[in-house]
Amino acid sequence: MMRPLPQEEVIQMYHETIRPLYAYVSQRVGGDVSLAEDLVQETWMRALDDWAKKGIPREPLAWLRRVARNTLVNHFRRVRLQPIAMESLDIGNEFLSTNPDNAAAVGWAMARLRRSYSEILEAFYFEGKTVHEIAADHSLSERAVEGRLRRSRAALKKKLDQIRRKPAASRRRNMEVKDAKPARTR
Amino acid sequence: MLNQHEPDNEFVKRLEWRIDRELRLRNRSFQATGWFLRSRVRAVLGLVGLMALSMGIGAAAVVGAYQAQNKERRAPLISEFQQRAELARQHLASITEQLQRKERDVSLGVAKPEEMLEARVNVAEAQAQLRLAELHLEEVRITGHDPLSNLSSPLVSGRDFVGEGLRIEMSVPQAALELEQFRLRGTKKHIDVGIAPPIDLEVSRLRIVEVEAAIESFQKKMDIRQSFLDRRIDGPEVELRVLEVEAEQRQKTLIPKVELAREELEATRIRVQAGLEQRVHIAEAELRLQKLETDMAKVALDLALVRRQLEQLRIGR
Repeated sequence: MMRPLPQEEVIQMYHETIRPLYAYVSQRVGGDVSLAEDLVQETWMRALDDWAKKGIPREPLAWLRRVARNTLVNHFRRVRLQPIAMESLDIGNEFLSTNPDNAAAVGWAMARLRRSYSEILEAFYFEGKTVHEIAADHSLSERAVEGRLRRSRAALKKKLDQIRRKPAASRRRNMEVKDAKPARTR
Repeated sequence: MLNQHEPDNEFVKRLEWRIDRELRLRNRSFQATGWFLRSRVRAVLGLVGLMALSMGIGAAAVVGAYQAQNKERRAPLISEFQQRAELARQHLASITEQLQRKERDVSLGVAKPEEMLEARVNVAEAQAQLRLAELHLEEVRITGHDPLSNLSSPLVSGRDFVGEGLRIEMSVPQAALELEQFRLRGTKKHIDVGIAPPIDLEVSRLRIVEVEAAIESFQKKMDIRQSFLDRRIDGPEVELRVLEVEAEQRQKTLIPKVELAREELEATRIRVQAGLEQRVHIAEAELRLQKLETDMAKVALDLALVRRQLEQLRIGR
């Protein structure tokens, strides 16, 4: 059932959460301002819909971050990326990239990973948590976290390979092979 | 210099303005359909239900937090929605019992038929709450996330949970319509025999207009949802159309209220001239009318803004 939301309280909450929420989203889109603004606005509109039905959550910022995360995943699942140049892939750097194209590639790939992988990568790279902290959060051993991180990175690399532009030299080689084929058959 | 991940101040102000406006629109819409908990009995029941629900949600949140530390996220969420469904089931059982008592009292002639109809509306409301809780539980079991509520939300495993939710919510004003029509017939009889003033008839008609506007609003929202699913309109248009429908609903309920306030003002003036009332009552009636006229002007402005945005959306395509 719908209920009225306390206007002043919500606006106060908005002021308290807008900066950390924006930073959360902006970091994940490589500082792309218009995309970050769109996603933050969408998150808040969802909040108003949901809170009117179920009430204001106990931890609004955590709730907003969770919804922003889902909104980001939905966004990256919808977009079709052009192949991008990431010659030498350094997963850690790509996560914290200030280049929107690289950030979009990471977001695109993360949205296609299984949830357990994307969550652990987020915790490690974006939130800067240690293996020890992640292990405590998920009730896992540190060894298990390290193993999962390794598998997550490998899965992410595999996804990123799908959209990475091939290096110029190998493209040239491919073209040469193509050009050579008719000559051989002749 | 601004940090790269720091929002632009202009954006912060713009979004604040939008949230503020949304809250105003939504809260006004809620007031317009405030007939929901009008009678004292229903208000008390509503309060008890709300307390029970808050306690339930609190308990579910504690259980949820504990389980989240242990294992996955899906389980606590499902557990929370199971508890909500269970609470709604218990609430329905108690309300149904009250209806049965009321039916017995009416058959014995110790309660009015109107009270029985009121109890039926309460049952319809509790049934809708239970069906919604069960629907949300089914959705959470499939997705492992909170249920989607926007009209532009996608289908979940090929199933339209949002549309089903709208149909369930619409069943409440549909049940209330029967009660209001019964009240209108009763008021007419009272006026005919001279035991009620004619203005009571307008009040009864006003309630029917409110309920009908709520039903129509749900129907329009279901049409919008269908258009979205058929890919005839996109997400941004859906959101604007919903705002348009809600503004239209408020406008529909305000028009007869303004008319009624005008009639009341006129009647008060006549009574004051005849020396039956004091002049202060005229000032009160004038203030009531002005407040309603201001609300009407605000709704007209909201509607114009939404329609302009819809037009811009069409031009931009």
